[in-house]
Amino acid sequence: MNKKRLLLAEDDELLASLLNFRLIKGGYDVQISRDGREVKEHLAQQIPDIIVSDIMMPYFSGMELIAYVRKELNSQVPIIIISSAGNEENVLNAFELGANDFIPKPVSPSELLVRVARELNKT
Amino acid sequence: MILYKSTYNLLAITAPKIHTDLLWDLSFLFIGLSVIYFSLVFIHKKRLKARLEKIKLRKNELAPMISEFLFYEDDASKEDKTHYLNLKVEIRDLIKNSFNRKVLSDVLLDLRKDLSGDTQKRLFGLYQDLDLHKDAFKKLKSWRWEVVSKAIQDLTKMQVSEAYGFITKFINDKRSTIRKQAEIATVTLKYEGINYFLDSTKYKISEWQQLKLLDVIRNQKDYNPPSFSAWLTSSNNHVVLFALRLIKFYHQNNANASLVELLKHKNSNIKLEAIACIKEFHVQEAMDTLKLIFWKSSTDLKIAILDAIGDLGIEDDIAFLELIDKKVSNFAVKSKAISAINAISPERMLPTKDIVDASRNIIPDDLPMEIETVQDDISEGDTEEKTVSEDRNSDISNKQEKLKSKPEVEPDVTVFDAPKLSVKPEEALEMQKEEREQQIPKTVEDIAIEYEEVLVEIDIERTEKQEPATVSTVNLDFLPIVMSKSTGVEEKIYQDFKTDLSVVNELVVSYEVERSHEQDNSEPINEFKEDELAYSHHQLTIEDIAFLPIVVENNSLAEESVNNSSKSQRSDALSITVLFEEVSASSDKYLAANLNMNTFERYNTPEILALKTTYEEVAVPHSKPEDILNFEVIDPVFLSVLVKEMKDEPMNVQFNTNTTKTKTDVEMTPQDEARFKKIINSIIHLESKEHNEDHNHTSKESSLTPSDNDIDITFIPIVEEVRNKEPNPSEDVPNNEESKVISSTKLKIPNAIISDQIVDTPYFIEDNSEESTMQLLDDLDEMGDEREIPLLNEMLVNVKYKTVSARIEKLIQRFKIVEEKVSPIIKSTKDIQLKPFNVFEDLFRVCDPESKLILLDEVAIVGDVGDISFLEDLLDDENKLIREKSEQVLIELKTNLGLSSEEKLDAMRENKSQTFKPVSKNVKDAQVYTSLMEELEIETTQPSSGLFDVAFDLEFSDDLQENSKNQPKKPNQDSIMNQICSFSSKIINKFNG
Repeated sequence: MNKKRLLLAEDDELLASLLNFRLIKGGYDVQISRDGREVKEHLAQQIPDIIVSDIMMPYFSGMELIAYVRKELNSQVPIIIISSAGNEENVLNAFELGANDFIPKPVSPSELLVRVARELNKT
Repeated sequence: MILYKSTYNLLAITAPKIHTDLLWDLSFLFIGLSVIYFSLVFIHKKRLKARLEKIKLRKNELAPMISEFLFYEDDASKEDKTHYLNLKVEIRDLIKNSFNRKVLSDVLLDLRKDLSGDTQKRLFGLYQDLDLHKDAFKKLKSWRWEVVSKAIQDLTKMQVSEAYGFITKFINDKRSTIRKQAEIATVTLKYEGINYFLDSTKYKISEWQQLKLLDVIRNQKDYNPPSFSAWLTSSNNHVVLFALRLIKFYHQNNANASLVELLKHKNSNIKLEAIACIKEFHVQEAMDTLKLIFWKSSTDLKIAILDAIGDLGIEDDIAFLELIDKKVSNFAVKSKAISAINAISPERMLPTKDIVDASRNIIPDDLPMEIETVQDDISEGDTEEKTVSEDRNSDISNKQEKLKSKPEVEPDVTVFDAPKLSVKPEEALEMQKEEREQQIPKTVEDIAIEYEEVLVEIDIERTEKQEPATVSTVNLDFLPIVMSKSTGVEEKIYQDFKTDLSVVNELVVSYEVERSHEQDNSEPINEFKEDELAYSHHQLTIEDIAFLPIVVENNSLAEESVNNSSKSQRSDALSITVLFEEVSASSDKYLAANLNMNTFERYNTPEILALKTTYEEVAVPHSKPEDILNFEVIDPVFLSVLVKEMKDEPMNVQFNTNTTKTKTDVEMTPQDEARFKKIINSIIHLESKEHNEDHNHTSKESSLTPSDNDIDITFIPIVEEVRNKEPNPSEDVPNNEESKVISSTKLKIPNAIISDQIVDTPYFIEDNSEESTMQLLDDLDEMGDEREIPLLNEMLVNVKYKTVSARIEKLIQRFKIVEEKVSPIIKSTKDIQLKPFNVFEDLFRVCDPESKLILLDEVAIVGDVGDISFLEDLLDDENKLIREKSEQVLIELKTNLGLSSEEKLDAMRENKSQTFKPVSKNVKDAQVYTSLMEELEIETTQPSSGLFDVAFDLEFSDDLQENSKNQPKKPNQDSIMNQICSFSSKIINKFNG
């Protein structure tokens, strides 16, 4: 059975490591990107099945990532946004740009797994 | 080059020599120090970087381990369980190192904020499983507040409930940071923490802290809040306030009685919170208390109370709110009261601002459109400029208009009310309203009885002519104040005048205009009412109407008022020159020439012309037309009543009545002349006094001085005839005293009653008249003494009148008697011999007994005749030792001086006194000196001892001065220094006998 490829864009190493551990344990093939440039590199190489990204990242924000994927890459890959800046404006902007889901911090890894699975099931 | 060297001194600008070795040493030193500094910075930075790297590496190592622990499941496979156990062993080895423990704590704390749900709980469990909380407990014992605070914060974040007991100790810590952290920790760690906190806290709970605590409490899951009403009785006001907020937050409406009681709390914040709770829980029983505390509350509280009353109130409470609307001046409170009324009873208070009574608006057909436009503009402009309070006044006036517009209360007779002076607009409106209400039910007959017959005459006259009531169409600005006699407004205005205006010649004008029945429904009524309203809006000041004469209905009132005024403001009134001008439209040609009568034609309505006014008359002399406004003339007729009044009150003014003619020439009646002479006599009396005091004073200056005398003379009529009249010798007949007084036209008369021309005449008094001589004698009698006898003798020779000569003789006799009485006293004082100066006596006053005894020994040695009397005085001294010693010294001194008998002693004293006579160069000088001293009544000094003989010359003789110029200066033997220098030699001489 092929594992679903998941791109995790998170600048917080601890959280990225924790989520990575949980997502791997959940059966996903996880690639971790620390900043926007790494995300672009990964996307240039291969488009994952699903993207889990933080909004606040160096070089390349989560919003730019959504716009890049949707407009430049013209991809409809599911994108789940994780952010502590969970105000209404950010959420609405994310959904307008093409995000599929929004998870506010603090994140429950179990909840993330469920949401990822749901988005993948949609596709 | 040579020139250059010679011009500039190179040495002067050469820099100081410094050893180059020293410079090098210093350079190396600073370079070394900078190298050390930068090396240290570099090393420290590298260490920090290495540490951060180490921490990062450690975190990367620990992160998977933590993840393993966090996401370990019991149903894991055997391999996983083995791996889990190995990790546990590994991590326990790691945390033995403090650095690793610290890193692990930081990692867990960082992850805590990013994780939620079950993972977070596992994280808290891991923290305690690894005994990391014990590190925090250790930190609680630190003396550093930041360490303690951080430890409490960590324990709170990681939900270490074991720490509750340790942290509650810090609730009343002196350090506010620790205390606040402990408060949050107490409330966070256990549900009952809030109870403990509210029970035990003694310190202030800040607003921010209350918010944080409330945030902690409301985020607690499954939290069952206690009944916070238990803390409404706390002695800590902040606890009570926080409890009230918690009660409101958790809707605990089981403390209504406490809430009502807290309305009476001193703290306004507690009151506000209690009101909020009462409003929230609809505590009806708080209404009475709310009303009670309203009047003594602050504005914020009043608004809150009114808000609560608006929510809780019923119809019965509207009266209270209406009372607030009337009584309270604060705009916000008023507005809130009105909104509360409308909240209880909607639509009860209708909008009043800028609302015009449209029912009364009648569009006049004959008026041009432009006028209406202008009026509208004016009204709009006025509206914009009005303040809120004025708007409220307009509201009240609108209400009054509504009242007036009722047909059944429209009065038949319109009474012009005078604008209230110094009365607030609201009060004035209230008074007007009351007056109007009182006047409304009155019939025409009732009002007619109250007012004077003159008013009825106006009405009759107008009725006969069948003219419409034009009073309302006339611009009434020029009119004096008109008021009802029965109201107290007149009295109030008059009191204001009495207190504010420093005028004496007040004429209170009081008249009314009565309108007949025929004009009741005429159109100008509306206009008049509008004018009246305009009056009510305009608060007149005294200055606004100061130009108006004040006329009273009868003279008695005027007299009384002026009397009161003059008594109360005597000082002001006395300095005022009272001059009156006639106000009535006379036929005087100069007035007619200068005044444009056409401008007043519109005021010449029958009503106004028929008005009965009371005024005084002013005599206008015939002079140049340009001087008509500068004259200073007093009506002689006024004099006829003046003298009578002067007896009681000098400023009493009796106004002439019913005089319409302008009198330019004066003819005195015999009675007036007699009174006039009396006044002139008083002036003479006054002037004679002034003349004696200061001959240089002019009459103008003296007349400017406010005094009672000025008052008397201000009423003297001075007419050009009298002023220009030359003294007639024929009138100086001794028996004809009256004519003599009148003839003395050159007497000084104060400026207040004479024109400048008279003042300019030289000040001169002819003393030839008997009157003036008698006046002078009066003054001499009053102020003179025996030194005036030669003058009196001279006057006695020249005097013509028998009465005067008799008076002079009496005065001479009186002064002589006084002289005889005084001369012996003067002689006796001249005979008094002053006690001669004695140096020992002088020293004796300040010495103690021991010193006195020593001094007496000295007296025995160096004393002389002058000291004997001093020693004799000491024989009566209080101190026995001094008495004995002085007796002994006296005997010794007498023995030394060889004096055995009193006669010899007296002879010695006499000789001694002769030696102290002033030294003169010749007899003539001595005589002059003696006479001078006698004249000055100065006693020559009496030296006591030859030891201090100092011969003082009052003047140097010419010979001596010449000698001193020609010869070289020698030490002056008579100088004080020489006397002092010779003191020791004299003592030695005395010793040697």
